[in-house]
Amino acid sequence: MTVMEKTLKDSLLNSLRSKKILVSLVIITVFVFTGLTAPYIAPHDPNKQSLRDANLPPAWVEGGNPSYLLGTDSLGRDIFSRLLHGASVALYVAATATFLTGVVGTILGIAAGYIRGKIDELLMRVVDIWMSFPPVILAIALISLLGTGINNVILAIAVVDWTRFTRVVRSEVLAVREKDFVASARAAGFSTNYIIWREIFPNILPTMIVLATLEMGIAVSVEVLLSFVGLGVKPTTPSWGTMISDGLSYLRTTPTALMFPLLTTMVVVLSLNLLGDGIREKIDPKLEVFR
Amino acid sequence: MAKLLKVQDLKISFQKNEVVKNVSFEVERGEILGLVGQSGAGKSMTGRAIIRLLPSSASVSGRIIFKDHDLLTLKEKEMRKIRGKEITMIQQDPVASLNPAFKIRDQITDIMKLHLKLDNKEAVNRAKNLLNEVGIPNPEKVILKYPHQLSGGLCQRVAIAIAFACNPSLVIADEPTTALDVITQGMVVNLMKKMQKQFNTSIIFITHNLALAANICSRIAVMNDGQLLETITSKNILTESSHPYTRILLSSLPTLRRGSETT
Amino acid sequence: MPVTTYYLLKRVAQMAVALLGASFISFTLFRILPGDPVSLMVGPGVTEQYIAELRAYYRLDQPLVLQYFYWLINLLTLNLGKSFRYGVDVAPLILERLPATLELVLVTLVIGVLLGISTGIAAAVKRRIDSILQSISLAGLAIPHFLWALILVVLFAAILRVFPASGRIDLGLEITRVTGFYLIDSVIAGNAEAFISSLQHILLPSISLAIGMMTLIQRTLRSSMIDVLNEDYIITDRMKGHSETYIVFVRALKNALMPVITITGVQFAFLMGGSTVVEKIFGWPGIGNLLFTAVQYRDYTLVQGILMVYALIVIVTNFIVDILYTYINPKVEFK
Repeated sequence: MTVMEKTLKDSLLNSLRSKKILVSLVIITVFVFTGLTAPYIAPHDPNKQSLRDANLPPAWVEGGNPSYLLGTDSLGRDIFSRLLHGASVALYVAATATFLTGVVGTILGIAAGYIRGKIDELLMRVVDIWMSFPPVILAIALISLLGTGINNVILAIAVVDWTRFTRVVRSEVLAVREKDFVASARAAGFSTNYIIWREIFPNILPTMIVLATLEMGIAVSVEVLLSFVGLGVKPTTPSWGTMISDGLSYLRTTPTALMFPLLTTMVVVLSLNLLGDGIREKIDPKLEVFR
Repeated sequence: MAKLLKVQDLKISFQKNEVVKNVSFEVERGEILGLVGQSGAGKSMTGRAIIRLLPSSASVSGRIIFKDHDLLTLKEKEMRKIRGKEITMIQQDPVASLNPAFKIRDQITDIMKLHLKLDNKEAVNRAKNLLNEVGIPNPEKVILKYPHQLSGGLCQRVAIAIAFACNPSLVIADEPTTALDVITQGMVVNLMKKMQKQFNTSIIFITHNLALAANICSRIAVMNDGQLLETITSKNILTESSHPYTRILLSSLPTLRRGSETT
Repeated sequence: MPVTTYYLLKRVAQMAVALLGASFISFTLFRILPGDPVSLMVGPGVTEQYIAELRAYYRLDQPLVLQYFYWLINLLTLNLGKSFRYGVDVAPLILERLPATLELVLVTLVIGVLLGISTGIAAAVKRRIDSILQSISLAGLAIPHFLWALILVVLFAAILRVFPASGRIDLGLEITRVTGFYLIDSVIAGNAEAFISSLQHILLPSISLAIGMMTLIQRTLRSSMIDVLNEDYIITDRMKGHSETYIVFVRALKNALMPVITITGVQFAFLMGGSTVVEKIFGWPGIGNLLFTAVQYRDYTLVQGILMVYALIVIVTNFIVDILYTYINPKVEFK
């Protein structure tokens, strides 16, 4: 196998030795799996209301109903099924928003970091002004304009958080472009395009991966947050955020309605961060970068 | 007259790595002893062991007898009374050895307030005098500056002033000239000679530069690879030295000659 | 004097530019997208003429640039327009609720900074504490403010019932308004009951906000302290015979705090954002809560005004943090 393939294989095996990465990967795999298969494995229709089965505790508690594994909410909807579908929502938002933010942020970051000059200055000014708006507030303002709905949530996340990727990518590019191998590539007459994609990009990739996990955690949080305040997904779409909001009103009677979605949100967000943390430990300074 | 310092069978190791192996030597009152050797010879470690400022991961054994007390058996609290007052140290990088967040004034007066119980006014006065002694012009101005605003040479003068501030019996100079240019080196060496005469302090002068050591020290202890090889008087350095390593050190000294090569 | 008047003037000019930029963003966000705000705010059964009159009143029929121009002029005279929903001027509406938000944020800062610095020092100095904190701190950073708020509500308000779950003070207790800060006003009035009640109410929301900041400060300070404690100058200070306590808390800390100040400044923007949702969860009567209502009712002038206030607070705070930094770090001078 080539040097690159071997380095890749070694780093993957090395990663599995990290407890953090292992644990978080397991949890995230479960998350992704449930997110993808929710429509098929959910026992009930998440939106089916049944007023006579409302506010039931989990099946193992006295008064619970075995067909509603984790109980029901105030409208008699099965919490377990809603939880599963909420995972799909969270997964969709996390993946899409991160992809969008990542692409935009990376392009801008590379542009600013490699080309520098006026573009860099202008971009950084925009970033600074953009970041003086508290992100949550900006997201709320955006939604108030665009309207609710899952795709608008994704858009809002991208519009608010693109600065993160841009800043980090830019600083990474700044560091890499000073390295000798870049200088020698330039001296050898390679085009800017080539240098960016073959020399610089592979070296910033590890950091981008870490950033992506962080961004996914943020995306899930923001989706839950927006849905919680009623500015997220449409009411017909089950989301952990809306579940939390509903559960909050019935805190005294059925605390489990709040606790379960709160728990899943926490666990998923924590795992994504843990994964990023674990990867960062490995690349800093250990993981050999592709060159 | 009793010796000021007696180091006996000093061993220093870091996690199974012995960096100082069974070193013994003595220092008289008022003498300047040179500790010479290559990088990694263990001379810095030996110096720091005396003032007990080794990293916490170091394990030390042996005896360091200073004025009839074994320093290695002292409690930290008691050692703190000795540090700064009886034994002080000068480090290699003069700018890095001064705290960047505090003015020069605070860095000299603090040691005097701590050990000599001076009040602020007295301490500042004494500090200004000290700066004069070490040859700093305009001490009133320098005193209000921060370390990063001063040159390396100036900072080392300040460090020397700090080292002599409370009239210690022993100053450990850990490569005080290595980070400086040649001219400043000469200045520092002359300054240290002057201070030593003035205060009658003993100095352990640590360096890798044998010629420099011969200039300032009365005796030189040669170290290599954690061991003390021999101790010779500087005057007779060429004749007395018998250890082959010392001979190597001597022969590698560049000499100025009419003509071309060295012998 | 590490800062010159010239620099101060320069910074004020920069802040003005930043505010201008913020106002531009604030403004355009609402005008570039389709949808007529006026028809959204009136109910059905309204005449075309009425709508036209409203539009003229709010200058919505003018070209965009002109609208922006008018709004900007008004901004300079601190006139933020009229609230669509409440019908009153926006500025006093915001001003009335601003102290609640400010009090919350300030208490959060105090808690976050104090706890962050003390745990940071502890982690740098004692290894055992460090390992414990390392594992917990990931949770502190990863879980956003509002999740913490919910966790705290579930734990302390619902299960343990030690703290109240909403509001700023117990019903029935009145405080004469001097500063608008309940904690201060109750002390001024000598009203112990009110003070205790205000304290109880502000605790959960400010702690939920403080956790993230506290963790970040702790991590930054810890790593900064460890670096500083390995520096040559600390060896010099030890050589002088100072006690370890003095060295850690005076000589090392001053150096280690520099990155912490920068971080805190950056965190502030996030703090302002987090406070909005925390206000909603705890029913806290600040501008964040007001923002939600404004958004719900499509009250654009109110939303714009609140956004500008938030931006102003953040920009001014950044400025203060920068100036503060020059006093702590003697190597930095602004000319």
